[in-house]
Amino acid sequence: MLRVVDLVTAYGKIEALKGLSLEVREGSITCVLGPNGAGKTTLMLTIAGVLRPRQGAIEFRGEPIAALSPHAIVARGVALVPENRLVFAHMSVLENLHAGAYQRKDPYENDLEKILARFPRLKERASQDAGTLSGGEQQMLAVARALMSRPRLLLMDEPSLGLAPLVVEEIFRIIAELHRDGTSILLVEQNAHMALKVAQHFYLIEQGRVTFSGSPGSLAEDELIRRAYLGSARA
Amino acid sequence: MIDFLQNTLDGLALGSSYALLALGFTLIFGVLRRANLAYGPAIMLGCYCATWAYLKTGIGLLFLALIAVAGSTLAGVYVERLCFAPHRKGAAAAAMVASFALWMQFEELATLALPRHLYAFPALYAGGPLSLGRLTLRVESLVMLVAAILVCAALWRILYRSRFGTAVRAVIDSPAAAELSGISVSAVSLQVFALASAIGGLAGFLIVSGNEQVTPMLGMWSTLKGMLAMMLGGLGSLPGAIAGGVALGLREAHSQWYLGPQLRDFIAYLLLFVLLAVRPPWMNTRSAY
Amino acid sequence: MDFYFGLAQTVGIHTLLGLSAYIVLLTGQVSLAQAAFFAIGAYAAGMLTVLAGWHVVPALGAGSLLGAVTACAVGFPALRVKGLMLVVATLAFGEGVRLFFFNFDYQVAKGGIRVGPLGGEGFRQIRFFPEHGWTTAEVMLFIWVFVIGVMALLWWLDRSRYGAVLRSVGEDEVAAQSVGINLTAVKVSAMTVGGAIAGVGGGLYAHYTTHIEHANFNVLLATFAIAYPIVGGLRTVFGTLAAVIFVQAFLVEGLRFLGDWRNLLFGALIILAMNLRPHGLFGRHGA
Repeated sequence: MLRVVDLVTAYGKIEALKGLSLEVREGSITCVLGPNGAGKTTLMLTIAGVLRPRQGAIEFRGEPIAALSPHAIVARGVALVPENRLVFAHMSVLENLHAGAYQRKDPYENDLEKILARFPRLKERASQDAGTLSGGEQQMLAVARALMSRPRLLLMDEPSLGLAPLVVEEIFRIIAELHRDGTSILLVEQNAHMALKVAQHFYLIEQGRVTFSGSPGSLAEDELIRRAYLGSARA
Repeated sequence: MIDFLQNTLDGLALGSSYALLALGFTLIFGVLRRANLAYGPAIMLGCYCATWAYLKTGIGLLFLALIAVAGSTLAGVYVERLCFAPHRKGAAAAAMVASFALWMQFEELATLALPRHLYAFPALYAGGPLSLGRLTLRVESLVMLVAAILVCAALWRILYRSRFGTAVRAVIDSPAAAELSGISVSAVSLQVFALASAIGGLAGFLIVSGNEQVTPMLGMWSTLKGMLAMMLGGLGSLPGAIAGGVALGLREAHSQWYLGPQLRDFIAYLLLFVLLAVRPPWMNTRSAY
Repeated sequence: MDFYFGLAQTVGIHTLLGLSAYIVLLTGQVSLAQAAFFAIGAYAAGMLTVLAGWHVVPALGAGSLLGAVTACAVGFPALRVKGLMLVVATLAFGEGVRLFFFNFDYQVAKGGIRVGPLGGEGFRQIRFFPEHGWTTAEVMLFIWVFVIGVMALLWWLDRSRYGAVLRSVGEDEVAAQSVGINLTAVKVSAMTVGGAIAGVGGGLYAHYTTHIEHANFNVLLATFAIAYPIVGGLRTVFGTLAAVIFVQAFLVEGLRFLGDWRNLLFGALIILAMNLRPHGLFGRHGA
């Protein structure tokens, strides 16, 4: 479904991704693990079109998308839930969701109902400004807004970052549900333990390259987690 | 007392023209977070198109209004594509200098087409002023006031009750999040620029037909007054822009009465400077609409 | 030949104006008040030579000092605000000063005629150079002594610790503050130096045109002041000089054969320059 080939993304002279390749299969949850600074967020931003790769190719359903701007990539069915949530703070929850459906030409009231049913907390606060929500609620809103574009592939960058354990559980419950409903997901996660429970496939990236990939269980979990947090260099 | 009331009435009328200018400015600033120095000159160019058409064909006021609005809109779109679209990320100063360069282009174009310093423009209303007891009100002022209110109402509807409005407010709130939600920031910017310039063109038409004359100075004048009114109302707020415009108009009308026109402007600028430097609390908020 | 001397005079004075904005821009501030400091220097120096009979050199010094003092006084309150707020605050100040000179009358009878500033009529007969028999070439050289002096001073400042401090404030205020730099002191001092440079430039301008009026010091001039360093780029003072030559010699004089169409092309070339090189002709590469 998504193929990333030999991707190089740089900030000025510093290369954050140094020839990274990976693949996401239709209907799967694929997880990207790695220590801080490995290039996980850079990878997500490059796929979503926020950053321009210096080299390499990104193909979604056979179509190259590397040169497109973010809104055009959303229109093709790839939505990113960014790391820092980025909700529209001065707009109501409902307006945030409408904004998420901006490029859809079909009537989406049904989807809106379904999504609000899936996130009851958001339904309660539908007319409240998004800026007044708690961190967990904002994360839910960011996910819900991305879902409003009816993505074929959902990119999630550290959805559990800075959230209370109960909220993290809820986020992962939703990820599992979305997967059951047929959405493909590419997940970047620090919480390797949780991520490996839901993922079918994972990539370990260190210093801008894939250093290991496989399905959960192909590497002892403690070894994997150690490398995901610390990197192999310091092991 | 009667003078005070008359001044207030005049100020309100003057202020509604400032409010219209400030509304356009605020829309552009909200979306781009950039100072567009060419905003006023684009309006001036639109009014010059109308003047030119009037001198060549003598067509009616309604057509002149349409030409002024269309001309300003086109000029505004030209400004956006040349000055702001290439500098969406960073280089705010470069965008400002570029808009300054277009300002010079517009003034040159206007004086090339119509080289005299001053041209007569057909009056909006030929009759005398209305009288309300001992107060008088020019019909032009009344039209201006009504136009300002109507434009505000229409803008409110567009921004809060339409799909396009949701996109505009999303871009104002966070351009990055808007792109990731599938909203093209570039397209929205262009549309907002066109909308703001159209409002400016309407304001320009009402101003020149009220004054019954047009000069190339209209460009600088519109940029200055619009920017000042926007500032007074707090940056990037639509109700604030209206309040700022009206406040500016009231203040000018009153101080003109007490101080005369020259000292009036001098005091105005110093006051504004102090106000901006001291920054009262309402000017700190950047709450979007 | 006089044509070229005249052009060199214009380039010199505009370079001073541009440099006064250059040093303020280094700290990341866009000020539209430079034309006001320029005006203050022009009126002050002009009045001192015409009304008080001073020699031009101390008069320039006094104009420069007055420009610096005003800039310092403006700097304290104005630099609390940033970005567009600062642009408008300084714009308001500049317009205020212009309108002050629009209303400013101070005439004294001298040798049967009344001289001095006269409101909207302006300030005529600032005739120090012709009265003392200076040729155009001498005036040109005189102006360039100041231009070269100021450029050398700024070039040296740029390489000193002070220059590094200025640039660090321009790059990232929070970072600069976290290493113990006093933001207010740095910004106000840059503004003050800018005011002094604009004051000298204004004084020279008053004496070489011999007639000044409030309309000379409008928003257009203020915008030119910041346009030069931005078009030239903030890497060195030579960028500003190059931009002045590009604009004044090439665009204004060189395109004169185009007649009325000149400003259209002028605008297009500036746009082209800014779009191809957003950090200036001699600025750093990339966006």
